Amino acid sequence: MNYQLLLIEDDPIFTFLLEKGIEATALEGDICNFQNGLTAIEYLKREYSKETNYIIFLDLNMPVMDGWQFMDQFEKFVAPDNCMIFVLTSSAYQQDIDKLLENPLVEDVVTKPITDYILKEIKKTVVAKFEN
Amino acid sequence: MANSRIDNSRRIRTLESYELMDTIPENVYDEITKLAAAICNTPIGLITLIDDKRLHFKSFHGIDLNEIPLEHSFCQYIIKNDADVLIVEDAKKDARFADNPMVQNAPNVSFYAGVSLTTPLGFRLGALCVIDDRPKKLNEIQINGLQTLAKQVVQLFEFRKTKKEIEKKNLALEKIFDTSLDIICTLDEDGIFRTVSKASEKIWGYSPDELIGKYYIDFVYHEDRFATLKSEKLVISGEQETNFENRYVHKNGSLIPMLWSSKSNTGDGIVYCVAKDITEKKKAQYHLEQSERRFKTLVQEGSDLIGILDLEGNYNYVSPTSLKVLQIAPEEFIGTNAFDYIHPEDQESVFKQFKDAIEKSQVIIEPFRFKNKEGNWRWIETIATNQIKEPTINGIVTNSRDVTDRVLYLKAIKKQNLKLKEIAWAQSHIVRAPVARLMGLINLIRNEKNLLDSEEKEQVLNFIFQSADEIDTVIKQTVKKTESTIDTKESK
Repeated sequence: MNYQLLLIEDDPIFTFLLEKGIEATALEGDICNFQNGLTAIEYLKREYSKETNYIIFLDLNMPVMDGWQFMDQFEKFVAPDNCMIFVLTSSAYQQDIDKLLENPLVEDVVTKPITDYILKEIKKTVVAKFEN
Repeated sequence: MANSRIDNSRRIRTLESYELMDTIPENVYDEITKLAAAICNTPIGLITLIDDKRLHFKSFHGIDLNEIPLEHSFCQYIIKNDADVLIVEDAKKDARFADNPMVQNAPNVSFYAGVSLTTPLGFRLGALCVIDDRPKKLNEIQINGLQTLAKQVVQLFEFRKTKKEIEKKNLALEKIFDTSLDIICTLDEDGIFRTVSKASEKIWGYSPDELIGKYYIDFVYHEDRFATLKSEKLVISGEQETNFENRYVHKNGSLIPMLWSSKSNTGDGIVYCVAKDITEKKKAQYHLEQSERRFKTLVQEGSDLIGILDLEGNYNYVSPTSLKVLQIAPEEFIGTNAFDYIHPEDQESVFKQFKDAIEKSQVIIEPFRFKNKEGNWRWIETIATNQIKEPTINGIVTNSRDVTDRVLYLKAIKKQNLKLKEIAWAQSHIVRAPVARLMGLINLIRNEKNLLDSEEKEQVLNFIFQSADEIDTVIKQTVKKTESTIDTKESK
């Protein structure tokens, strides 16, 4: 079983920070960067496999296709078994967070910046889900 | 005489109306019986009254009896035979009376002569009769004398009856006079109280004795004297006054409003008056006028526009305030329909709420646009109240006010709120993003594992500068936006 870490984020600084954090936490998997939801969903439609575990870091506010629209498309062809989404946001209303957490694909909603501590927690969650 | 029966009920009723049965003897009748006996030269003279059971002697001369049973009487035959005169010359030889105890025993009646006491309407009440214990004959003069006396007796009965009736009437009048709540009084031609009823004491504080003999005008409130004298002149000249109002001064100094009905009898110069105390009526009238004036002021001088509409929304009444509120005169509204003035976009909603008011008793109609005289739209808020069942209104009462300023103000606030929301959104997303970046970058530098090579360090510093610059720009924009929002508010 292999892992893919999909970073869907339009802000290059956040992408940079996320890559560095993943490196520091030694989170396993191939990193793929996407500037918005559309390029990500096109990739997944093409490459999605049940044999791969997908850990997705998804920004909400993006041009072209935002995080909401991405999820609408994504949930049509995937199962929660091999997919986890961590939603990243610089700030969000509580009612939006509650709505996001109702989606079985969404594992957590994280307020930026993602610290090492948060990534460690994310790693634990990932391991707990996929390594057992 | 149609009915000669003793117990004829009309005869009995007539007898009762004279109130003579069982009354004590009176001198005037005794003198007649005495005279009758003298004329006929008999020892006994009687005036008898006959009801359905017995004979009552209203007067008895020469005998001491005041009644006998009907069946023993001679007089009954006057009624039974419907006879004006009955003469029995010798009772012992008459089959009707031979066994009569009055014949057999004392007074041993032998001769009897009776003349009917007949009322003007023809009812026989009894008889004037003379009796002797020896047989006798009467000559024509004697019989005529008896008949003349009998007529006198009936006339006396009539006088007696009339007198009693007058007394009764007087008593009733006196009672009315004494117990009347209104003052009944008479004035002579000089304007002096002749008679005053007892009510004066209660109403004016003066007893009748204190008033009689005094000039009435002295008791009238001085401001009302001129009008009162004018009215008196009219009454004396023969006019009937039924609705004259003036004020009397009570003994305690207070003013008593009075309502007069007066009439004078031509000839005697006496003015007859009835005066009513109308203090309570005046008070009620005053309160009514006050409350009417108050409501009128509220309706006409207030800032609210009050209308009465029928169920279709046609105006039946519009308060004068319409001129102030909409520059449209009330009469221009009458006959027009309220919905003709309402903005097309608001008509449906107002119509729905108006229908609600008909079903419920009261509805507050949300602000809607209403065209004023110049054709400008004014925002109007209305309370509609169903008063169909109130007969003086019979419609929907609308209480409206111009809320244009309020509505525009609210709209401005809404607009401002929208802008403030935008600012809040910008702050949360545009400001928070570079801050989050900065925090992430600083974390990275502080990381003890030192994941960065020198080139990357340079890049991180650039990122920090770039983010700081971005925050600066965002803050400047926020200040500008907030300023313009506040300006919008103040210019309104």
